[in-house]
Amino acid sequence: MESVRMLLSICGFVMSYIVIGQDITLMHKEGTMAGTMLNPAYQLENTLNFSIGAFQTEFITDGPTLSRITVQNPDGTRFLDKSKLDAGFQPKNNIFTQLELRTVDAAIHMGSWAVMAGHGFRTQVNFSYSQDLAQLLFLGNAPFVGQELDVGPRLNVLAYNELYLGLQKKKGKWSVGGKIKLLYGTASMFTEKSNVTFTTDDEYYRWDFDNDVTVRSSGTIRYNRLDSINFTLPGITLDNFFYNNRGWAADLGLVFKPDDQWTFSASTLDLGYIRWDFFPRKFQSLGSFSFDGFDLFDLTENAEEALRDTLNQLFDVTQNLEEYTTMLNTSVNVGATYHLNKWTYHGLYQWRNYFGIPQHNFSMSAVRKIFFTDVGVQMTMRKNDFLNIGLYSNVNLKYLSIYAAVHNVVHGWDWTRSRSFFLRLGTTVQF
Amino acid sequence: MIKNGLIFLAQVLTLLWALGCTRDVLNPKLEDQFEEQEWAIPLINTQLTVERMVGEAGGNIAIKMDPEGKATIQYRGEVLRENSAKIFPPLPFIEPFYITGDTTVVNLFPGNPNNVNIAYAVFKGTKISFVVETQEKENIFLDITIPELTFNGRPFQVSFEVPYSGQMTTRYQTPLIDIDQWEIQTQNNLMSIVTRAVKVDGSTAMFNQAYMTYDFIRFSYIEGYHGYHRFPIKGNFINISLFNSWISGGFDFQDPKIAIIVDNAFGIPVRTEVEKLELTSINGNTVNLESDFIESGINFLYPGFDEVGDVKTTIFNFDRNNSNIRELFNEKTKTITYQINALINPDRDQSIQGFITDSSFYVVNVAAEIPLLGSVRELWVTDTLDFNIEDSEFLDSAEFKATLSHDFPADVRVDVIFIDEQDMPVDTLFGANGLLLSPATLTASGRTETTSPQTFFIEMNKDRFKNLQKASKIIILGYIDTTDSADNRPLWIYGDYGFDVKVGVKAKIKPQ
Repeated sequence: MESVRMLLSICGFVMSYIVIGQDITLMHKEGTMAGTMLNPAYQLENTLNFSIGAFQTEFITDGPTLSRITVQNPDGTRFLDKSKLDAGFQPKNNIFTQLELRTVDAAIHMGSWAVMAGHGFRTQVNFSYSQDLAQLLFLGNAPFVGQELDVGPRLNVLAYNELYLGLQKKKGKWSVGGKIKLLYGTASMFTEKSNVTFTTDDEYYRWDFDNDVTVRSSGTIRYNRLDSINFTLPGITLDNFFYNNRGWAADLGLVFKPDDQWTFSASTLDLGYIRWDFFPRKFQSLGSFSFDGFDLFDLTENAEEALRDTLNQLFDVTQNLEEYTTMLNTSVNVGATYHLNKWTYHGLYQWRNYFGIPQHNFSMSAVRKIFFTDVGVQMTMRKNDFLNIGLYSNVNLKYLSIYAAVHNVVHGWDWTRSRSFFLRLGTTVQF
Repeated sequence: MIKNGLIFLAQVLTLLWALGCTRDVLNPKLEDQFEEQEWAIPLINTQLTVERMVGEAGGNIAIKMDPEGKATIQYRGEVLRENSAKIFPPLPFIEPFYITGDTTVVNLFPGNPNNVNIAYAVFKGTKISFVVETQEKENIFLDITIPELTFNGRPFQVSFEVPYSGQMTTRYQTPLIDIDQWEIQTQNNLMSIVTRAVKVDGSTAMFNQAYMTYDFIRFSYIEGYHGYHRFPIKGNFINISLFNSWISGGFDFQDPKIAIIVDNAFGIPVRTEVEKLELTSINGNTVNLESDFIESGINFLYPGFDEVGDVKTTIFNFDRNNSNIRELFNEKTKTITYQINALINPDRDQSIQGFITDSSFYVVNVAAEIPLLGSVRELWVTDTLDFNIEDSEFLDSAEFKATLSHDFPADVRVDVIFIDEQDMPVDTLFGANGLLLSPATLTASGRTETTSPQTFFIEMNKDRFKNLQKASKIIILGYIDTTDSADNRPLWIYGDYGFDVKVGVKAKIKPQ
């Protein structure tokens, strides 16, 4: 038995370098409403199934940790170590964060059929920046005189409410499931293009920008000038519900249980789009722009004000109203589960298209039943984050169960060395 | 302009310090200390052409260029502008024109100190009325005619009835009669009023007193002799700022001028009489301009009867050919003071007939013109401005990089010296030798080829900043020596000549 356990662990570890995915915690909840969030074909175990107040938040960066680019003085103060900047950043670095709050999910299971429905609020954010931009901000532009820097950042925000109706059907060792989701967007920012090159001319340090930037927004940005950009990210809200920013999506799942020990699953989630029509603004900055200093004839008595005014008018930014469509951050999940006595082992690969940036996660976990609880250890691997150890716990109280999962417990005590944070909480009720 | 630039650079230094203070904004994620940042910032990019410099100076200075682009600087003096109301103001009511018989001849301008003699005029807005006092015990009827006053060739005529009041004496005044646009033709300003008064039965009526009254007399057009008038343009001066900053050296402008320019819409002779025209040098010496025209005055053009509404412009220059202005001007004239009179009908010749309209005017401009043709020999000029720079904990050092090129056929040197409260030197911006610019090369056409850009670096480290905090003033010294100035070779300065100035800075910002 130990050898099987070892084999599974090794396989999972190797696979984790190949793959990526959504949280493996939901695999532990197979048979409940929570499990259908990962795969709508996971067969529900009871007639009436509820998930109430499920919550998940996640923060991931594939860029450097703070400790990677800084050092500490003996007195504990931290400063930038310029010698680490080259190695610390990749050419492109990303910060991902998301929040999901599910109010109620419910299902009725009758015979081989189950009907599901529910509501959730989801926010997903991605900020992408280049190594050039980071170095420019940390070092200034003087070390890069005469060099062309890629400094265009990308910020994407997607927030929406989803209502869904789903079905699952079991036939023999197979079960299939699907959900149709009606979406209403609350906020969007979509960086369609962000190609900005910055060059400091050698003659007298003229700043040259070559811009090809297109940003779209609904409910997030108001642009007046460079130092007057209002960015608002609405909180959990029912704005536009049944009125604006409508979209559609689907989740599809397939499960194969050859015997009582093995379960193989595959699903694709959030296959859909939102059409943004509530004040859909399109901002564009296209062309070459230069800040070449001041004309002595235009000097005012206030240099700071003059500099600010000049820089604010540096870029020609146009804005107009134009509806647009954004695709959801679709994921594909492939998993396997092995039950052995009181142990259950899971392996999950997830591919996620996060605002056009592909992510690969591979997770594996081992969960043991101890009286009325399930306790587990899980590990996730992703780009630049190869040893993300997490904990899982589930308390079963007859009809009610409460579960929680955290990731990255190893670095949890030192955030300066951490690349990610994950927390999931939820309750399920089943009769 | 240089002042503006230096003030701006001082502000940039202050701003760079402030930038150090705002590092949290630049790097909001790091709340701890930072290592040094170095920013390269373009500061100044200016084409300082002669045309722009003079154009931007504003005030009383202007530039004009001939078709080839040769520049002339013009300092304008104050302007005298007079309109027709000054020469022939509306005459308010003083006393009525009394009617003393069947035909009464009245003088339109009793007194007439300027010997005005109107031959023809058109009234504008004038209203008249007639007053009659009689002791007749019945209604009487009056018929009044003024043959000299016509409208479309029809003489003025009015008839009215004086109703008996029942009193011992009956007094009656007619309503106001508008004679706007009515024309009057007179000889020696005389106008006749023909009166006929009768009773109901046709017999002659008697009246104790009768007269014509008016609100005011105003004309839209007057033809004749308008009298002698003298309007002084007194106590004005022109400040020639070109030489305010002179220290030493000489120059030789080939053809400086003082121009008197008159725009005249009056159809009458105007002469400018120069009482005084004196130039004061920067040393305080005052010398009178000498010219035959100072004695004789200058007559200006005026429109004829077939040119009513036209404006005649006359420009008269006191120049090297008719005065000693070149010699005076090259003594570094600082101000030009003038007392000039504008004379209307200066010869008091009443046979000269002229006209004025209610929109007539004349404008007298006085200007000094300096065609930029000449030579400048080892000229040093200076200016001083206040300087104050505050301490910084964040700015570690700055390196200014300046790239300069120019079009002037002259050696140019600029020194900037920082001095303390005791006027002792603290530092020099460009070192002991100053900033030296080689002359642009003259071509056969008389123009120059722009010099190759010269690059200068100015290092400012922390110690130098600290030292500069002792300074309270900046002295700017400029030196100019045109090509072949020793031979007084005259060279034209073109309006598009100028300095191409580009300045940037690399500033290191480091928290302590």
